[in-house]
Amino acid sequence: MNAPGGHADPAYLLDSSGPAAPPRDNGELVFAAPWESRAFGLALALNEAGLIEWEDFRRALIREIGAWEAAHPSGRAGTHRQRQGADRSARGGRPCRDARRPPRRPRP
Amino acid sequence: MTTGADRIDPALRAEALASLLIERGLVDQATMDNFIKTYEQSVGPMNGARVVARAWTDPEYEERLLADGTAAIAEMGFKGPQGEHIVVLRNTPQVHHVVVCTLCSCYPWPVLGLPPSWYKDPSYRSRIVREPRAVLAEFGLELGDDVEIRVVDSSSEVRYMVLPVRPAGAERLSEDELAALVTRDAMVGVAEVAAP
Repeated sequence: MNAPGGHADPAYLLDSSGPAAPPRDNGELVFAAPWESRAFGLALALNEAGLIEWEDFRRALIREIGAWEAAHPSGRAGTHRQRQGADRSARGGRPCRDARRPPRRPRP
Repeated sequence: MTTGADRIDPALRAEALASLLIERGLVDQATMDNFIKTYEQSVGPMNGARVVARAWTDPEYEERLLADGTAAIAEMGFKGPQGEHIVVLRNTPQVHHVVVCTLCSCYPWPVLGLPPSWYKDPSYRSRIVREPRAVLAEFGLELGDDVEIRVVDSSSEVRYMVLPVRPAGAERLSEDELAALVTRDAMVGVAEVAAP
């Protein structure tokens, strides 16, 4: 169970060394902000409940990322998630599949 | 979809969506919390490190791992979402694999947990394909010109994990001691495992 403050508790991000330190993934927080964990938990819960297919979710995510990147050629992922809502011009760009050619996959 | 809701701050949007879906009984808070807690605490690169250490010390396991990553990883008890089709690629002194997801952030969760922010960064996702040697050098990994670099693209069909080269000087270490040497970055292929 979560600490009383849950993930919205600012202490979640601040205490980085004590016994209540947030879990780290090779030195990096798994979730950079509480809303990221909330969105993650929500997507998995919706998938488990059979309300969304993961592949549909993934395709929608790819569309959003591609559109945002097409409109922000030098953008960074961190700002993608913060700015996508504030920037309508992000929509309607070229699909990201056209923007980059995935490398060939080796036959293992 | 372009709606007014897209302009809302992501924290508010996540909160509003969660509240609405919980209120309507479509998801429950406990299920969400459980997923979050699992990926914050129980699933992470320490799982992959155990797989690598076992492969380094047990040739038969290594063979099974390279033949069917998903099954050999499940053998160690690591299963779950995004782990359905894991392919393990073995690095050698001659061939170095590095993993990317060019379209989004596909990643083998059961063995590595959730991806780090740089893995999701547009610059990593495009540059590692175009100029892998330069990007790896920026990570601090200078590979000789004689080493072939293979960039592999993870997707929903296949998620790659790298089996790094076992470092020299680690011959006498136990499996646990070896696992402690293995880093997330080495299993993505942007680093090598340093000698103890």
